Amino acid sequence: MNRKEKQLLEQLAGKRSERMTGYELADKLDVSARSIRNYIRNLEPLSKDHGFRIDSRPSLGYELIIEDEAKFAALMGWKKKEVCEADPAEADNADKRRKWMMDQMLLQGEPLVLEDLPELFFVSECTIRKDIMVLRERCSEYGLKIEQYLGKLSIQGPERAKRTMIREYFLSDSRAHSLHDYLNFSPLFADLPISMMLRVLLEEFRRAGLHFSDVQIQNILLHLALSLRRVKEGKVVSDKGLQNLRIAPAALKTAGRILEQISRSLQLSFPESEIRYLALHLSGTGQEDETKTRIEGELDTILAILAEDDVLQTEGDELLKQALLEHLLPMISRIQSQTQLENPLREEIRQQAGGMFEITRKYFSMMPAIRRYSVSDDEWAYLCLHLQAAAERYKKKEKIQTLILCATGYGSSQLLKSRLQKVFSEDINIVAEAGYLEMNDDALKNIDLIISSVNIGSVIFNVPFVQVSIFLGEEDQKKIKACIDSFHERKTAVPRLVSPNNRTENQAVFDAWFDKERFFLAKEPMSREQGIDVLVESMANGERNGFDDSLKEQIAIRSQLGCVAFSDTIVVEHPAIPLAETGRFALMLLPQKMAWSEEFPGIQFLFLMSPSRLGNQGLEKITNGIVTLIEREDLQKQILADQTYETFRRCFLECMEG
Amino acid sequence: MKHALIICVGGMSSSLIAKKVTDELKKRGEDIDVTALGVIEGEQKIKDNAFDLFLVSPQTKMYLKNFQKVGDESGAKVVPIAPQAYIPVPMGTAKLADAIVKEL
Repeated sequence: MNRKEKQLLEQLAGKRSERMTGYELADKLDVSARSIRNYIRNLEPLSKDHGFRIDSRPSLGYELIIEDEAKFAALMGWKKKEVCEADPAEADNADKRRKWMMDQMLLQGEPLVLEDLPELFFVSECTIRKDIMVLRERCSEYGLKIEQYLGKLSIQGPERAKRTMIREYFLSDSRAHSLHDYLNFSPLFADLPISMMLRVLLEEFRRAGLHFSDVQIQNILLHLALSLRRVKEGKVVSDKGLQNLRIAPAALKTAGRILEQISRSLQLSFPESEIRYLALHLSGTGQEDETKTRIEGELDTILAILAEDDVLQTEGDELLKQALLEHLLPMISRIQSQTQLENPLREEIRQQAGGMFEITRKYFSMMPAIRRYSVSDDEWAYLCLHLQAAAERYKKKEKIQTLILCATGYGSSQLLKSRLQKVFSEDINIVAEAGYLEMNDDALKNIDLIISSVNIGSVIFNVPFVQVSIFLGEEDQKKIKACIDSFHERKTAVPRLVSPNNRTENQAVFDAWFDKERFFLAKEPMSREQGIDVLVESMANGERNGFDDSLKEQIAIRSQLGCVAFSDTIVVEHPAIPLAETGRFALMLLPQKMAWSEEFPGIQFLFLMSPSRLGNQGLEKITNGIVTLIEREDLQKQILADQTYETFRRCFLECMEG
Repeated sequence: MKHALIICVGGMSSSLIAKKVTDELKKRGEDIDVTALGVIEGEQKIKDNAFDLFLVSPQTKMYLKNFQKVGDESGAKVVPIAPQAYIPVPMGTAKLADAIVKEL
C-alpha cells in the first residue's frame, strides 16, 4: 500500500456510511480520477486480509465497509484510540466519547441533545457533565465556548478559531496548510512521516503551554523535517555558534521532548545539537516586535520587487509572507551568530527548484538585514523551499478552468473527463460537466475553455471551445495541447513583445500566420468564388468537419455586413465570427487582376484571414502589415513581379516593421 | 493621451479604420490614439478595462451586448460604431472621429 492509497483509505474512513465519488477523492488527494481507480484496484487484494472492503457503485462512488476494526486499524497503523468512531455506542472510553462529541459539534456543526447523550454512550449523566466540562476547557484555549440552549449543546465563537481547533483537534484536514501540503507531497520529503511529526509538535506545544500560529507551526515543522533528514543521513549540525546563544530553558525542554518522542517512534537518536537548534526555533519565534516590524518592512519590499519583475506573483499572499517572516527571524539570528547549519537537501533544491534557488539568492540578498552578512547556500536553500511551495500553489491556481460539454452531461462526458484528467491534469482543471441544453451564461462563469464532444457548430459561446471525440485520439490531444499553449502564450505575451530583436519577433508572427502551402498564384483569370474556394480549402486541414462550409457561409455574411476590399488592389476576406482552431492567413496573387465586384474590378491580392476562436497572438501585427502594404504600392509591385513566396515574405516583413 | 480601441472580427478592417481615424484626430489636434483588435483579444482588453473607450464595429454587433455586459463589470465604456461611420473614406472617418471625441 503506498502513501496515496493509504490517504484514500483515510478519506473513506473519515466518511463512513457515506459514499465518496472518485472525483471527490481525486480532488482530496490531488490526483486524477483514473489514479483513484488504480488505487482502488490495488487495494482490492489487501482487503480480505485486513478486514475491509470497498464497495463501488457506478456514479454513486465508493464506500468503505470495515468488517474487522482491529485488522483495519492495524493496517492503517492507527493506535487504537484514533479509530474515529461513527457509532457512538462503540466509543467506550472518555477520549472516544469526547472526540465523537467534538466531531458532531465542530465538524458536522450539529448541536448535541444533552438529554440523549447518557443513553447514547451508556454512561451516567454525571460522566457526560464531566466530559462537557473537559471539552469546555479545551474549547476555551481557542477562545471558543460550548453553549447550552434549550437542552442543546453547540460550539460558539469566531469561525477562524473553530477552524484552528478543527485542524489541531482532529489533525486530519491539513489541506489548508500550504507548507505542510508541500512537505507531504514533495518528493523531497516523501520518506518522512510528516503527519506524525505534526502531531508530536502539537501535543508537546499544548503540554508546554506554548502558543504558535499556524504559520509558525509550519515553519517549525519544516525545520524538524530537515533535522530528521540530517539525522537520517548521519549528518551532524555543528552547534558552535549555538553555544553562545541564550536559549530559554523551557524551549530546550520542549525541544528535547519533541525529539525524544520522534526518536522513540522512528528508532533514531538526535544529537544534542539538534535539540538546541530546534529550541532556538521555539524561542526564536518570540523575537522583539521592533526587529520583526523592521524585517517585515524589508520583506514587503522584496516581495514587491519579485512581483514587479514578474518572477513570482506574491501580491497579497499573506501565507507566504508570514511563513517567510517566521523563517527570516531565526535565520537572521543564525547568520549573526555564524551558526553553520547544513541543509541536507541543498543540492537537490539547487537542481530541482527550476531556478528558484538562484532567484531566492538574487532577491533576498538585497535585504538590508541580510546584505551585510555572508549567507551560506544551505541557508538560501531553506529560504528557497518557501518560495518553491508558493510557486507550486500558484501553479495549481493557474490551471485552465475547463467545462466538458456533451449531449446530456452524463455518460460520455464522464469518459471524456477521465481521459482528459489523465492526459492534461497538469494544465487543466475540470470544473464541471454539462449537457448541451444546460448551457447558459451562469454555467460559463469563470470557465476558460470548453471541451466538447458534440458539434456546437454555429452556436456562439464567448468562451473558446475545442471539439474532440470522446476517445480523445491523438489529433484531439494535439488540438487541446495547441489550445493550452495558446493560453500560456497569452500569459507570457507581454515580455515577448519587448524582445530586443524586433525582427525575429515579426518573423515568428509572420510564420505563425502564413505558410507557403497557403500561398497561391493565379496563372489564369478567376472569379471571386473560385479564389475563395481555393483559399478556404487550404485552411481546412486540422479543423473540424464542415469547417470549410461554415467558413464560406460566414465569409458571405461578413461581406454583406461591410466591404472587405481595402484598396483597389487588396481584399481581405474573412468570416463574420472566428471559426478556426488555428488562426491562419492564405493569399492568392492575381497578376491578371480579379473582377472582385463592380466597384473593384482590379484586385491583385486576395487575402483570406481566418482568426482562431481560441486567441490570436500577433494578429494585429499582420493586420497592420496589410494596412501598410495598402499604402506601399512599390512593395505590391515587387511581389507581383517576382511572384514567389520568399519575396512576398520579405516585402511583408518590411510592411510589418512599419 | 487617451486611448480608444476598435474591435472587429479579426482586427483587419478595424486596423485600417483605426489608422485613418488616428490620422484624422491628429489633424484636428486631438491627442487620441486609436488601435484595433479582433473580438477575442478585444474582449480581454474590455475585461482589463485597458482603454478609455471601446468601439464595436458594425459587423461584430452580435458581440456588442456581451461586450457591454463585460464592460459593465470592469467599468469599461463600450459603444457601437454606426455603419456610416465605419467606412474607410474621408466622410466615414470624420464621422467616427466626431463620435470618438464626443464619447471621450
